[in-house]
Amino acid sequence: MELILLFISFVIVNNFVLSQFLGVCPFLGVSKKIDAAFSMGLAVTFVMSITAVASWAVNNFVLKRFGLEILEYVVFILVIASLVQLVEMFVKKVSPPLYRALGIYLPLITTNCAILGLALLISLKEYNFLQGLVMGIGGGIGFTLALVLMAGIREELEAADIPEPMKGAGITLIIAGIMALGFSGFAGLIK
Amino acid sequence: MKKGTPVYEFSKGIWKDNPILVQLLGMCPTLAVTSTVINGVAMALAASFVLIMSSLIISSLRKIIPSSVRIASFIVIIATFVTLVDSFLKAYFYDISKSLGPFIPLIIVNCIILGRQEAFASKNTVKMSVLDAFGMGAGFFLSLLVLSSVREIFGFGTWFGIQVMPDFFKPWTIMIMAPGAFFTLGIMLGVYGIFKMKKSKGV
Amino acid sequence: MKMSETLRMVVVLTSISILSGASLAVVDSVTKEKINVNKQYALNKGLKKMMPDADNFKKEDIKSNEKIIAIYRAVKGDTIIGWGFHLKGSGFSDKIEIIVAANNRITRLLGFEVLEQKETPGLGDNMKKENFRKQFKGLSINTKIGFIKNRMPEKGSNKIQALSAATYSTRYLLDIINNNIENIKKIDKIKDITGGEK
Repeated sequence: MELILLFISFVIVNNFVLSQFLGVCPFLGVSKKIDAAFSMGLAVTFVMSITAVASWAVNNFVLKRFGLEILEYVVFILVIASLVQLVEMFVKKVSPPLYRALGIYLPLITTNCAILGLALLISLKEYNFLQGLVMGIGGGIGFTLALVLMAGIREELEAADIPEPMKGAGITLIIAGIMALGFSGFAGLIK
Repeated sequence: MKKGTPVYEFSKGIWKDNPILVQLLGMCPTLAVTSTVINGVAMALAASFVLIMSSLIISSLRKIIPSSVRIASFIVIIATFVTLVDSFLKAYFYDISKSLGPFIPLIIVNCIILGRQEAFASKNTVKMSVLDAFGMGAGFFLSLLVLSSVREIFGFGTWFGIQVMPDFFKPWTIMIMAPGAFFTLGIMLGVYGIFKMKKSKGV
Repeated sequence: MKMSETLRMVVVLTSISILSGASLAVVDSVTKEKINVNKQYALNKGLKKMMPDADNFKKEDIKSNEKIIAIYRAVKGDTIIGWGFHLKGSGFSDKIEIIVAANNRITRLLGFEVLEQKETPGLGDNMKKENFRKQFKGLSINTKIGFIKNRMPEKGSNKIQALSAATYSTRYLLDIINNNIENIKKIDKIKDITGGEK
């Protein structure tokens, strides 16, 4: 039960993009088309789930055991970078069509702060293994949700008459603000 | 101003290629920590320090690092400096480090820093790279200063913690919450766009 | 040629990593002590504010549940003059972390300090304000503390006035205080020291 609540919390209440500001760069960059947004979201969710497991294991079995907490950041980012590389090679080999769909987004994921943010938050909040995994999956789905919603709005926006200086990122940020306002209505949903 | 001169490499980051307003890099910390000026300024200084030091090291090592492992080398160097800043803040500015929370370690994936290493420091001389880093750092600093000033003045009625709004002013709580961050930055981009448009028409 | 390229890759990456590890080890040795002092200081400052007479706070060796992070015994010389509880629980938005001070027999509250909270700015986060917190001083913790909305509670009712427009934040905060203290009072070791329910 607690895990289900945690899941819902990271999908909507504590949405990574709209309430914690993690992963805003791809949120602005890859939200022009729904298909692309969905693929990106899938890739991120996938990497986030594995990162949650890997970073938790490294943190608890290696760093904490040997008192190497000072190396936390260096190790986390290396784990993420190598995971992304591995996923890329694996997908390329196993499913070329999936690789063509996700391929260009995978390298971008290393510098997506949602991933490193996830690893850091799991360590900061001292989550256990299951909680960490749920946070990874929930966070990824929340990211996908925000991204796809935004892409849907932006596709419609192409027909709208927006003042010249606000075109592109400007109007996207304003819409993100309105979405964040909507999502803040979920606060308190979960005790 | 000509490309390649020291003045150009320094000043481009402040206005023409401002990392926030033009390149839209480093958005996460920009939005997340700017609810008060002191946090915004601390974040900008921390990130600029990491940027300048990384540019210095990476541009000096640019001939030694093989290109196939350059990204891995860059992130190790950046992460080292970030850990250094983080420990320093925790040791000497505990309250600030607490309110910035995970956003100090997230400087590692701040695209401004990795972006400048990839696009500039790995291809240019030490002098130019450091100038470029100072310029980008200054541009980042100024954007964060303006954004956090607007948010703190309207959201709390204060600036650097000092009361600036008259007593009858009721703080707009929304400015310090997530939506306020998106709105303010969106409007800043719009204002920047207007300046750009006027300039291009004038020419 | 290809071998030397690979070798160079390995050598460069390894040396960068070693240098990075070495410099961080130096940083760690310089700052670690100071960081721990800071963490303890933030906690002690809160305890000291509520129990200014105490000259030492001793952490009790008690493990109960994860919501009770630590229990401190405030002593002056040899006598116990109060208790500090470092508690954690759910708030309206996220976790709330507080330290609560109680008198030596754990019958009355001396106050509480907020260590961490992410309640709605301007509403729920007003729990940090002195005006709200001072209501807790002297309340009985033999019975649960309650709240009323929009007006001052009568004297002796063991209630506080809720934060305006933040009833939920108030309720969650009271839950953290009421439930945890009830559990703390059930711990045998504490019972032995305070003399149990009298």
